[in-house]
Amino acid sequence: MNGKIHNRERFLDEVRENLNKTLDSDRPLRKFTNPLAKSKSQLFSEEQLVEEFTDQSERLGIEWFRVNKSDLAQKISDILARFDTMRVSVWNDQETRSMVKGLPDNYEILFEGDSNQVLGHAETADFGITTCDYALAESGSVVLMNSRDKARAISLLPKRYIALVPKERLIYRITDVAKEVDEMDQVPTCINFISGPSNSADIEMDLVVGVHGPMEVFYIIVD
Amino acid sequence: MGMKISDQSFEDRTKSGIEDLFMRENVQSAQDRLRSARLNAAEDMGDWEEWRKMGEDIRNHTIQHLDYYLKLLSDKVSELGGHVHFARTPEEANEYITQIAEEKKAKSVVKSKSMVTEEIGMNEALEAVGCEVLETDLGEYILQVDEHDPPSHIVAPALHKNREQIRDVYQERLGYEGTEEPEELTRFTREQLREKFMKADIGITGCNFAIAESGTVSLVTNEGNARLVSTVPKTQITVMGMERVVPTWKEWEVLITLLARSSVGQKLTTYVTALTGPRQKGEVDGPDDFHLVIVDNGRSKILGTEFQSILHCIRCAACINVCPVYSHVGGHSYGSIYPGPVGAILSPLLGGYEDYKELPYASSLCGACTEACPVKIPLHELLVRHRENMVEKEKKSEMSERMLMKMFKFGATHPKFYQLGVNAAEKVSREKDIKRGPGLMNNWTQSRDFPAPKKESFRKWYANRKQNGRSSS
Ligand code: SF4
Repeated sequence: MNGKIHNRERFLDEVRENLNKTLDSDRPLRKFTNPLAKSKSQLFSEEQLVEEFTDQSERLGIEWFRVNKSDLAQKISDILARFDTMRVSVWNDQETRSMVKGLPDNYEILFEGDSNQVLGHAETADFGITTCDYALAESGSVVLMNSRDKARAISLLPKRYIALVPKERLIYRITDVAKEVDEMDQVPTCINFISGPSNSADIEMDLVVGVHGPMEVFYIIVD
Repeated sequence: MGMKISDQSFEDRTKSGIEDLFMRENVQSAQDRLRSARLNAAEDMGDWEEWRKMGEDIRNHTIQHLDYYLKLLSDKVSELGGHVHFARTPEEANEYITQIAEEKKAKSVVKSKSMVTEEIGMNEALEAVGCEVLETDLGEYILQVDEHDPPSHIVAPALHKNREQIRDVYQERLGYEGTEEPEELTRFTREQLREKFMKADIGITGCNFAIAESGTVSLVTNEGNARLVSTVPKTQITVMGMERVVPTWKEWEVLITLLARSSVGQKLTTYVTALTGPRQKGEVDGPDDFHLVIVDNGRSKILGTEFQSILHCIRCAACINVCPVYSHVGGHSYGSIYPGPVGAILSPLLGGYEDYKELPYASSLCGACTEACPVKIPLHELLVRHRENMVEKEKKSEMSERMLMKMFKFGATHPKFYQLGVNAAEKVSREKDIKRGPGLMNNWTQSRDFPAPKKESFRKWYANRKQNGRSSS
């Protein structure tokens, strides 16, 4: 059902009056493309993208690994074992479910598909695990299109966060994502670009990690 | 608190700013770090000047067709099931927001950073109907705990406070028992706020950019608090200044790039979150209700004037971080939640010349702000426009121009300020082409026959100036 719009006409009349213009009958937009970013994205080979991505990740304090699909469960469990891990919140979509198959059962693995439980679970989880829709080489970011079984809270509320990055999802920069999203019929309700652990420099410009979100972030690139 | 943060006179405010040595040192080192981070991030792009040009074009186009894009935005949000409220005044905005709070019987509100909610005094309005409103940005939380100490910087609001002061405030008000180490203070804040987040009824966010075509609002943070605010509570309200819109994702991407690099020197901020409508059927989390409040509060009056380009501002604070006057007097001196060059232009426009007449003079016109601005707003030229307008206005009211020129001296006649202008120009010369540096000021001083800078210390000059005050001119 459509939401309500209040007081619009009066408000926009005032804007128009001050701009000294009439109502645009057509879309005023000239077709905009970013000419600067385009060429850059095409220059990089897949291996160069991996190199740039891991390089940037390191600068952001993200620990990264690169494994074959068959070694993925082992690598995840290695990371979990380094900490006092009990609960792990995981995206409930097909892809993520299949990627984390084979984790040892000494952890409580929670696939978050229930809206009544997800916040409580994620809040108390030691780790959150998700895949990603894109990864950006330039900024060392993962891009998460939250929808249905891909809950927002998993990459946010747990103490630590692991992003699984299928190698072919690597692209150069945010420009490429924007282009894709512009062409979507239905834009996901929540898209997150995440680049490192939650942090702040609000106290004397001293960088501190783990303000509201995860204190540590791990990337596992999957070949 | 509204936009105005002090009832003290401009002189008293600058005086306490100048006398606060810690504040000045902290501000200067913060400025240095942010400035060089920005320069590195800009250099890294290789073609920064072209990005700036793109940013300028996008902002120019959008504001020129603001009515169209706001209509599109509100149609889209409504299609997605969100509600949109257009508010011309703070009263209209607050009435709507408190009405939602009352309907939801909300007791507690968590809020991420938003300048426009400060501008309209939203917190007070919500508190008046019995809501607890909690700021969740670390810097803003600290200020709130300290009995609403006003912010002094638009990106780092608690810049004027040191760690010992923060520890003391926490001890006194929150029973904190830890040390003054930022890490410990932060951990404590996390625990305090996490609990509040999980119980909050309403989340209120600002909006860095709204995307008209898809009905999206986007938020940038490093802390992740805006994500919590828009993930946990069942109701989300986003409050935006009406100029904060872009046409499509393609333009959005350019401005996000400019914003992250210019404000903190990062390639992207740690979290960039784009929210499109309330939770859809079948989704596991996100708010059930979404309200977008679009605020005018004096902005439409700027449209069609010589100051229109100040509405292009993306609130990155780059101009603040290069400003030699800001570094000397600190953020509180501006008497407004918008300090620095952007504040010196915006505050008189939104709040009137009466309250903010000195601000356009709190500048050495060195031009560093204009060179730093990622969307190429001609900041120091707008400052000159303000001065001219005020001179005109005062003439009409038959007051002497000299009264106003006296204020101009605040920036121009003092050797220290003059030197600061020169230094700043040298510092930013890597940004090439700073021809207008102190030169523009020279033009002014020549044509208006101003005295050359005298050789005396700033404080002494300031003290003298104050003593001689009104009688000398
Ligand atoms: S005026 Fe320009 S430099 Fe200053 S905050 Fe706005 S966009 Fe940034």
